[in-house]
Amino acid sequence: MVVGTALFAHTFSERYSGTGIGDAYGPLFYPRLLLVAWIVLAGIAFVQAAISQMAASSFAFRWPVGFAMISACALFVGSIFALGFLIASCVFFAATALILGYRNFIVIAVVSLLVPLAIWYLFHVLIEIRLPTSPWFFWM
Amino acid sequence: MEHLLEGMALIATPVAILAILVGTFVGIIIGALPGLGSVVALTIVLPFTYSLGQAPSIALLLGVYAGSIYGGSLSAILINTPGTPASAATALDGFAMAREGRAGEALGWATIASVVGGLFSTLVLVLLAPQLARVALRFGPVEVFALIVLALTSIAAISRGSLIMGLLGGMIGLFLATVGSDPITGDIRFNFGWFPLTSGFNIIAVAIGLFALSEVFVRALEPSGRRFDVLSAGGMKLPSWRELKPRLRQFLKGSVIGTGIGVLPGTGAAAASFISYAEAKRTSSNRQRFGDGEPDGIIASETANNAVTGGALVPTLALGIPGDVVTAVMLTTLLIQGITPGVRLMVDNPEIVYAAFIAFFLINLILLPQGMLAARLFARILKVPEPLLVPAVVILSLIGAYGVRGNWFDLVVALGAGLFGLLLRLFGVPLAPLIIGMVLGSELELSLRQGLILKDDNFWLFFTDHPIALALFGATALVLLSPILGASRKLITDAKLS
Repeated sequence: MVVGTALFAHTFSERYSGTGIGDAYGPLFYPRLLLVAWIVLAGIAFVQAAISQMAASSFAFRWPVGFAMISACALFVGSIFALGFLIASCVFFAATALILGYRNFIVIAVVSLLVPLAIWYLFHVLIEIRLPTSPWFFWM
Repeated sequence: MEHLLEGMALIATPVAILAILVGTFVGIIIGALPGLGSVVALTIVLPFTYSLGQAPSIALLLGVYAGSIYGGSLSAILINTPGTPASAATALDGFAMAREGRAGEALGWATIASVVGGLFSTLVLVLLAPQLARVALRFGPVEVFALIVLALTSIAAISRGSLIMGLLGGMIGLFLATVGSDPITGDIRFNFGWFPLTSGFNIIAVAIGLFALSEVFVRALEPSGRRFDVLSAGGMKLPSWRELKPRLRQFLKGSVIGTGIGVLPGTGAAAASFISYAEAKRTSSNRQRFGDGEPDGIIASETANNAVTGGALVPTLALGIPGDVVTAVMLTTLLIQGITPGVRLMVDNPEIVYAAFIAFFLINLILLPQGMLAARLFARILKVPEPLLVPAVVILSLIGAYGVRGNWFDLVVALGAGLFGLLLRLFGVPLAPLIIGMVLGSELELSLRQGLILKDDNFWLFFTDHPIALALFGATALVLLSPILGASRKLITDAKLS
């Protein structure tokens, strides 16, 4: 509701004062309709949530593993251009397997090299969807 | 008859048959990879058509098109990640069946539904292409707007137990589609001065994050005692005739909806599959089980999205008007091959038209054995331990998000959508409405604004000047009011009995 209200207020900002001149239904007509509906629905949902009781059992999760997984994905996305797709994905593959509890280190070592290499070859070479390359090797 | 035989002669060559076989299988595999989809599949095979003749080129493209639409259902069912937006509705019941250990059944239903939908639209294409083309010409912006409003009612159908949250998700999805350039004036909206947002959010990146990455995060969070087993397809299990017979009406309805919507330029397989799903949920005798692994849900979605492939050929071949990006690529290839689609095609090149029909018929038949082969392939892949499978899924998904525009921002969007999807799932909010909103949002706004321009800003003329649109608005009202009418009728009946 807060986000919807802030976006609705944003549509009246100076930024859009010159848009849609002479047009009865300008660029902000449709988004404003949606934002009004958004705010109303969010308000109803808020009232419903305040009235009803939420079940607490759904929050019994493995938060350390979850956060580690999210962090690994974020670091992978962040490093993909710095290290190149191939190197970043090899590291990500090994890290994720360890986070999820796999402990056969030889298999991890082999698979985390072969699978990213196969994926890289399929996309970068065969399908020619050019993946980010590393700053040290122009070819990968 | 003479042209039909000439068409058969064009297809009955080793090159054309090979094009059908290879194109369909390549389409299935690429369609199954999250984020790639029909357009990428077509552009990959496009260079190969330069060295082929006219009929094999058409056969190759049609094979890739139909195969990729079907292929999207494989990943939707097995890893809850629709390979194409058109398979998002399939994931609702398909993945639920897979979680119950019935992935083979789900794949069987999806395959049969795809084959039936494709064959039905081929039949319609053969018999009624010119007549349907004339109907398509009567669909302007106002009619398209009314149709998309009808498609949006599917949000209510899939928002089980949380209608308000589903509608809110739909509104958020519709709003996210407005970020970027205004479709009429080109003004930049909601980018907050940040250049990467100038072209808006890539729907593929959002869908991948929302479905695939959030699924990965949820799996990581699940306490080890409650984690479900590794999903294993174990091969496809086709339904028996006894299981099929009570569902024949669903097959027919989905096929009709998909073919009808495919004929209309600018709508597409995603809208067709959601409309079909919503209609099936409204009328199915098993509607209570929708979302929990009900085959009717898979049938509705897959017959419709595969029936669109044949329907979409009507405006492309008969009018020379591509219905979407996919048929635009096909149209380009036909032009390169020296074939000019349009009203003269049946007169100037009838043998090519019949060759396309025959090729399409064969492709839909071949979907069954090739689907079984692809399912066995995926079944082997899914036997890999989950800690080794999950990183591969993440990497493939992120490549899918990146590969659409080669833009790092799409990776960030996918990650952000994954986190947002995780929050939605933790609080029991359905994900699909947001995707429905994003898929349909751009076309909804464009058709509304164009319609208002045509009607001199008088919205009421949408109802009075356009009987087709009025009928579609009426259907929308019926869909929205039918639960209330049904409940009222039940109350009256109960009152009379007591």
